[in-house]
Amino acid sequence: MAMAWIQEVAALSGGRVKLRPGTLYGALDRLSDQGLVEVRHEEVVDGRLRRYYELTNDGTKLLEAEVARLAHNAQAARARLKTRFSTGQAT
Amino acid sequence: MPAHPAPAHLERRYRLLLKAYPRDYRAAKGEEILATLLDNARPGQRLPSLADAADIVGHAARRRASRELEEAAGLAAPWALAIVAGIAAFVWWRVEQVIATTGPIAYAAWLLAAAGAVLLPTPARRPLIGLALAATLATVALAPVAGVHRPPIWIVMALLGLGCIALGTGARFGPEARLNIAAGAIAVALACKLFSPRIDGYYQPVIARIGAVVAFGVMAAAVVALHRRWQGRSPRHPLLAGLVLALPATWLGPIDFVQWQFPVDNLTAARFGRLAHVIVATCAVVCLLAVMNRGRPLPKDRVVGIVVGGAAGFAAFAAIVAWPAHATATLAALAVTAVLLKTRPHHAATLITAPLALLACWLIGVYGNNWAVTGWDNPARTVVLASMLAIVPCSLAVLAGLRLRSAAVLPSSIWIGYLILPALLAWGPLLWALASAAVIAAGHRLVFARRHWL
Repeated sequence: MAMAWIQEVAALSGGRVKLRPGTLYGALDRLSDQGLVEVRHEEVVDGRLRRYYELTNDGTKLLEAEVARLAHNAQAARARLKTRFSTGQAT
Repeated sequence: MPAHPAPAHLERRYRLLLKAYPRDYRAAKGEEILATLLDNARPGQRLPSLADAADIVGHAARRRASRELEEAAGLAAPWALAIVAGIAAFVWWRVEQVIATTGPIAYAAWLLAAAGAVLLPTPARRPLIGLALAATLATVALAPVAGVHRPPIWIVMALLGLGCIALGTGARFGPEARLNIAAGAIAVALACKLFSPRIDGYYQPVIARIGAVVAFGVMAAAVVALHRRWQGRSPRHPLLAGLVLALPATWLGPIDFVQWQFPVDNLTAARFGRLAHVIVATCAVVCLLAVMNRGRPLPKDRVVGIVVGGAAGFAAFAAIVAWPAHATATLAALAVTAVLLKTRPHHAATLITAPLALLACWLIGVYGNNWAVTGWDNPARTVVLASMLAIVPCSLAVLAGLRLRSAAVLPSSIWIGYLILPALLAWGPLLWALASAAVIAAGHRLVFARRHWL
């Protein structure tokens, strides 16, 4: 649900990022066009339409690859920092 | 999460805001976005927040534009920032010495925004551009208080337009784009200084210089597009980016008949002033963008509704103020156009356009008579001036007529030609650049007739 995403982004960023509805739906449009997310189901709660989105298989694979890439980058940066502090000079 | 009840008027205002979206997108996603907006509202909130409204309107504008146009606007953003900083530097450096205005507030803010975009991390860029836009508006608001002139309206509009393009993308600018902003700003300022027409005064030399430099930038985008075409690549991105940059440049004209001592009759001189130049150039750029954007065209009945409504509004204005022969000719051109489109007018479009056209004519009358609300010295001249608004429905009719292969193209284009061609010498640099690009494109199409240009 879009509202939950807005809250989760705010929580994950410690309140630094406030995702607004136009920006969120712009991102959702792009992800849907690329087949990375899809609507799982929809319902009307208190007269308001809610759609629930979920990652597709392609979206999950891409996210896993992206997480691995970022983790590798972070690991490389950490290793470089360790080297720098152990030798006491920038390389 | 349980939804707290939102006031009915907040929901109504959100629904009004959602009308910014294209109809089909609104049908598919409108209720869902509305629910998100209402869920996100604070308890007791009565109005949409400014940030949410700007965010929704921005998303709606992107939905209305094609993905290519969005990407082209992103391509144009660093160049827009370079041009706006170059103009600010030049005007502050050379023109403020002639007439002191509140302009330096805006010029300093634009130079700061450009410097920030070059030197600071990406998140700092948009707030600085927003600040510069606010400072530009403040130059107008502060002028009466400070007791000095405001910058000319064409400088204010060019700065605002280019600034909005620069604000349009939040994408990260790489080192190359940052270098381009710095180099581009210096190049624009120096080019404006080097190109110095031999004419006295303030407005005309500056319009000619800045207009020529910006038009040269638009032409450069067209040359890049041509080069890409020769390489067998799509020319659409640079062309669209050039047209996006051309929109604010529509304010940089015309060349003044009297000051440049052109041999032009009074009727032509009366109708082809600043207003005419902005209308003609804006219609030309918007029509080209619409064609290249490949969006859904305006339905024919709405075009007819706008033509009929525009004619009714103008006729009412002429009936009240004065009825020169030029008014009859304008209405005849619009009437023949509407008849040749062979469709009944869309009633809502007619009913909305007619009072808007009357209001626009009256505002032009006030503007054209030194802000006098009544007691205009030359009513017939004012009606001739207001008749330039007919270019808007005529342009829509030309677009629709070309698409539908209708004879309605003829009266519309003939009337536009009659209004603007005798004033050829007064065209601002952008109109010359667009005309040159059109001739080059036509020549290219003629030579490579078997291949599609767009």
